[in-house]
Amino acid sequence: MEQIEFDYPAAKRRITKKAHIGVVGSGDMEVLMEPAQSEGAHVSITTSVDGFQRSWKAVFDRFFSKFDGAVRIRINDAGATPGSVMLRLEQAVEVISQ
Amino acid sequence: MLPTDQYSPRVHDLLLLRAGIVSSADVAKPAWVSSSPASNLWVVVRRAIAPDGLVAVGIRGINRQQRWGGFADVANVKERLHPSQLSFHMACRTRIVVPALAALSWLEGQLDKSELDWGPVGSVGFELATGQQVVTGTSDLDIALFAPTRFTRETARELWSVMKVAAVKVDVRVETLYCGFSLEEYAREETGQVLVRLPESRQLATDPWSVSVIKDEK
Repeated sequence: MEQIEFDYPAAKRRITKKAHIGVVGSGDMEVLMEPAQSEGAHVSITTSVDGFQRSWKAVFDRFFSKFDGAVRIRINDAGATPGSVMLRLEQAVEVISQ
Repeated sequence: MLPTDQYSPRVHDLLLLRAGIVSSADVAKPAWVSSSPASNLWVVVRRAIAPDGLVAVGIRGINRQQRWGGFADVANVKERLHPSQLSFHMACRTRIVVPALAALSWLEGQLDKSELDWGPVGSVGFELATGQQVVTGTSDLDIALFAPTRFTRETARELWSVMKVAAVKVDVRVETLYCGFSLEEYAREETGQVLVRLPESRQLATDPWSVSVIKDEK
């Protein structure tokens, strides 16, 4: 079990909605996306698979290169692949953009 | 034409290999795979496309990080167990104290196997097939539910309402002929799309039974 945190201070666009997507099952993850409490975006990940901090960083760097919402993202991960992580994040963005 | 006939191994099946020869095209074998016994090796069928005559399999090591994917020769398969053939009575009786195994025993009383094609996978399935005591006190109960034909979200909700009250976390993978997805997610009221797993990719789909794989004719 590992806890990972990232900050993206440049993501400042105001968000009003929240989304709860995905499930905590083998090879999948649950994501909660909601308006940030403070300025910028904050990501906190709880993962059952240790040692993948750099992969997570790469996924979120890519995500926040396109997305600028001031969100708080909480993830409960049970070994999702980078591709699944991206699909889940895109799904959450779709919900908060509706 | 169906992608697999009923005699070829399906995803989640456990296979006993006559000779534990498992190869991989791209990744070197980790040391713990090479040190696994060469005969009577149990492997699990992975969701991956395999070359002709081979089946994509996963090997389980002692701890949870030890998983390795390779290919086995279909001709080397000595025995094959489908998840529905695995039940709690195959476990050592004293193992009823392990929460995930107790939950399986309970679930068998709730869901009739004559009406639904389902069974344990993951560590519980592996222990029942092999007798190796790999289920721990913190293991989840992983279940595969085979549904070649569509069932409604209402049916999914009824099934999930039974499974979710188990004493341990139950993770149910529904398997269509082409893809797998989470029963919990499909049953959820607010979900529009579900994540479906295909041999080579993952995608989002509103109706998982409409997802198919176009395969080249062999």
